Amino acid sequence: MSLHADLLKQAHHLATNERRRSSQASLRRAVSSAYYALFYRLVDEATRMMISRCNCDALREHFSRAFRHSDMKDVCKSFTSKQAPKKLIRAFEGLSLQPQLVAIARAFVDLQEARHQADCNTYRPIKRQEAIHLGELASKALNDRGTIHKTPQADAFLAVLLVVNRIQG
Amino acid sequence: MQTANTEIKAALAELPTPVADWLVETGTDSSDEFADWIWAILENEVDLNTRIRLRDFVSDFIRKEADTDVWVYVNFRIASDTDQLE
Repeated sequence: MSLHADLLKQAHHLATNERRRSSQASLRRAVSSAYYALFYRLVDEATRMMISRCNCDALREHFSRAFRHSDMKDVCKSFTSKQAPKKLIRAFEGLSLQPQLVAIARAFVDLQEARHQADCNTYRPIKRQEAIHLGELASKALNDRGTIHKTPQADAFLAVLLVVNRIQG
Repeated sequence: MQTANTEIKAALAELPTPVADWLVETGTDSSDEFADWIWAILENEVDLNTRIRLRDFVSDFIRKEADTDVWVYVNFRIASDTDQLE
């Protein structure tokens, strides 16, 4: 099973496994796992797309460590406007963004913030249902990702996740 | 005031699911950017697609009414499960 699938499964397990009242530690880890399921899926697909001419797992691993959470969030925010980012407009070949891609971008931003709150904001308890909801959101984003595989918009999205701040205007 | 009431009622009528209450917070998010956090307190559990439609509606409504592009984080809780929220 892939890492992202494992993480999604773990998120569900942590959110639902304790019969009576889930511990805050479990729920906070569940939220984190839901976010990282989507994060690692996107990073995995991006590196596979960028390094596709050889079976270079080691090189892909190096590349995967170059992705920055904050940059990815910025990219995703720009994709939620339902229009391609201006400096990438040619890469989209005149095509509009698919609703699934917009939904993935939106989910990434929401999940990243939820992960931050879960890890850093301890004054507000997380509820079991909240953790389940976020796991469902991550799961839907992963499913949506499968429906737009290898489209020009999705490829541009994956590439720009890594290089957004290095593209000249 | 009449106009505002009418607008609010019209907006509420468009909600994809009934909302028992709202909680609102403003602040800066993990990116140190201004953001709004909205908790929609639902009377009952609703499915993911309904929550997404409600999230998008609330987010678009706030951004339009407040004429702002701040990010709106919409979270959901069930009314019976809000004891420690506030």
